[in-house]
Amino acid sequence: MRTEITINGSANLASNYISWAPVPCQILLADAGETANPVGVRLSNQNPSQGGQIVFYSAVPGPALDELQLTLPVDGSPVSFFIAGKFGNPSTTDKDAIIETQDAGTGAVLSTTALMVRIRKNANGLTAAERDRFLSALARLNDRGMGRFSDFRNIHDDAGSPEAHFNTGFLPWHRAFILDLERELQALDPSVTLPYWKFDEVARNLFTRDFMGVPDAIGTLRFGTNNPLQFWVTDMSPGIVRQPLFNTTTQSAFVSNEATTLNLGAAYSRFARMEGDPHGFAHTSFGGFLSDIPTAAKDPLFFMLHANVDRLWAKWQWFNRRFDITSRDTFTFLGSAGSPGSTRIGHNLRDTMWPWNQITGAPRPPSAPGGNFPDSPIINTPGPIPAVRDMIDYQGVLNPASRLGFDYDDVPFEF
Amino acid sequence: MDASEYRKHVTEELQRVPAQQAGNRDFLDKSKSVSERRTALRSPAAPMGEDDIAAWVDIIRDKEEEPELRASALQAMSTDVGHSHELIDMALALLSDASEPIEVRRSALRVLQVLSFSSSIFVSKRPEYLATLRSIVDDKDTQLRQQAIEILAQEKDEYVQRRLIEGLEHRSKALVGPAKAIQLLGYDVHAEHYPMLRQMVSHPPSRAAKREAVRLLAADASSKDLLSEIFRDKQEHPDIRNLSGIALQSLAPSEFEEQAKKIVIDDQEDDKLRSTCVNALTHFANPATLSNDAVFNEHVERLRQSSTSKQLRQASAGYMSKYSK
Repeated sequence: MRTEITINGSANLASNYISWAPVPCQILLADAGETANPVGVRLSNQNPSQGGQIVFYSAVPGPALDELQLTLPVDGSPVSFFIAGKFGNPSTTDKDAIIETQDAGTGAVLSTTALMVRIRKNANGLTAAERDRFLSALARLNDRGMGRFSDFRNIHDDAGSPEAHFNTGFLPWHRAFILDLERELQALDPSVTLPYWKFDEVARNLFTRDFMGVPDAIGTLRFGTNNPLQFWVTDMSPGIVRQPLFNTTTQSAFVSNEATTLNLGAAYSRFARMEGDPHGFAHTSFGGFLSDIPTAAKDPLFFMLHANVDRLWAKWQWFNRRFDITSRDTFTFLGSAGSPGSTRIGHNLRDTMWPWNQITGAPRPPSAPGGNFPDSPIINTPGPIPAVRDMIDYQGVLNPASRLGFDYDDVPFEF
Repeated sequence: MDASEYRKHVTEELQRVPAQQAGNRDFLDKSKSVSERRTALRSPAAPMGEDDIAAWVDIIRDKEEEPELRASALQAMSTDVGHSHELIDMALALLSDASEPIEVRRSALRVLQVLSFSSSIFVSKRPEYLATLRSIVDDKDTQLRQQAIEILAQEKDEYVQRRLIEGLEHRSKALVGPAKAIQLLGYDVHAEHYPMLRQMVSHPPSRAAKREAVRLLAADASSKDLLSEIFRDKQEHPDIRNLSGIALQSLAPSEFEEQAKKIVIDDQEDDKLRSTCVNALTHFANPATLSNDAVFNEHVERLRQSSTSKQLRQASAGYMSKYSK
């Protein structure tokens, strides 16, 4: 007797990546053996003390269970259920989370299914292997200045700046930007996520030669011999310039702490003030590339800084339950550019976002590097031309179809 | 911890943040000590009412107040500064006024640069901001001067570029050291800079300046032979050779591969440089070529097993895991 599980609507192993948000699964009897009756099966984590852990749902919304009992028709018809990563128990290596399917009657193992609870983590706490996979993917994306990374560098410059800054669209635009980058990294190594730099805490493991580099006397970074970031090239010049104005081994950046940021207010218009502090102050805690908009994205730390900005928004959304796109507490401008009460184009809920919309010419920038928004093997949201609203319910709390397929280690999913 | 328990935990954490309004009152209370008032500055991004803003601005402008408090107050109300033409003008005036305490001026620069990331009003003030920065590139405070020069260089400001080049040609006119000047010119390298950079590589004022010059020459196709020569030169410092290799890899990948392989198999070569070469080949070389180069791969395997350098053994192991058949 043998069972088969499909995750994210596909039997392809490339789909076996989950986060905290429930994803649809199906199980069927692929080989019924000699039985003529429906078969009771029990799904659970193969090793509850090791690797990424999974919770099961018979339906959503519903309670998260450590094991799930199902009855499978003998004719091989699939039975639907849902799984999610168990909050606090992410994977550290690819496919280290294993669902074991047992015959509920005999306890015989009918199948095992390996997957990864793939979660964005605090960069300061990554294992050496997680760190090195991330660095390798990042360096390959840059490919000595000749790779796809150059699009990301070119998007975040002066011309594109009003699309991304100075208004309510700051947070959704950067959510899309870093997700685009993360999907490119995952195309190179699906076990990689974008780690975040928690800038209100000391991050001494991050500012090392083996990770994000250590500046020399004039701020040009030095890397360990085995760190592929030593081959980083932007604008045809090797190297990264970053001179911290704080002591990276004993201090955080010059920013408000997380609790202060989350306490800015329960309405988006209040929370959006974080564009200045902590976001702006995190950038200007350094000299070098990061400290100015046109050069900031030349430094790979930019993306980890923005992962933390995004994490703070995600945590604020979760804490205040701000996923309803019809509420001004969730997002300030609910219409589209030009409608009554709207703001600059690109910063209203229904506006599409540059550059993924590929619209050029005033009031949009003169060019749109990088093409449409990429799909991923696990999900086809937000689609090739994302709008601001597509970035809001990123976990699919209110609308499962809007799930974007990422999560943070300290922001749970809650119905 | 499940989500509901975690929610309780986060709620308790957030409730521990002191109330902003009480903090504001304490900060404005001049009968309290500087330390108490500084501690009261809790929530820089929290919005203020008009009365609050006026009271804070009075403190920022009050030259009798402790400079440290004025500086902290300015940073604490940075978001509100970004919402007002008048307050941005105030910050610009504080920055340019050499009679103001340095703490206040540095804080003004900090806030203005933060606004460049977050304030729509600031966009229209940009020309004034850059003009103010130009006015302080000769300031007696090193930190302020260097920050202003760097921001202008990032903004591809012609005035500061001219001053940096003047400083490289006539040391008495230098705004910053030669290595830093070259690094800053790197934000906007022009073709006419390359002869000067090549000269800097041939007759460097310091190793750091040579490093920076080599870095920038990676964008100059006509410097390929020079970079290649440095990369091969065993008399050159390994640090400079390393960077020349990286620059060459960007400019002429196949030439880099060929030379890197020669360096890797040469036991007389510097192990750190060999490690870098192995890593570069592992990550970026043409896989089809390397997979079929049995002789070279045997060399790397030997290094993996028996090199006395841990770095080289590690780099070779990474290479072999990718290319061994």
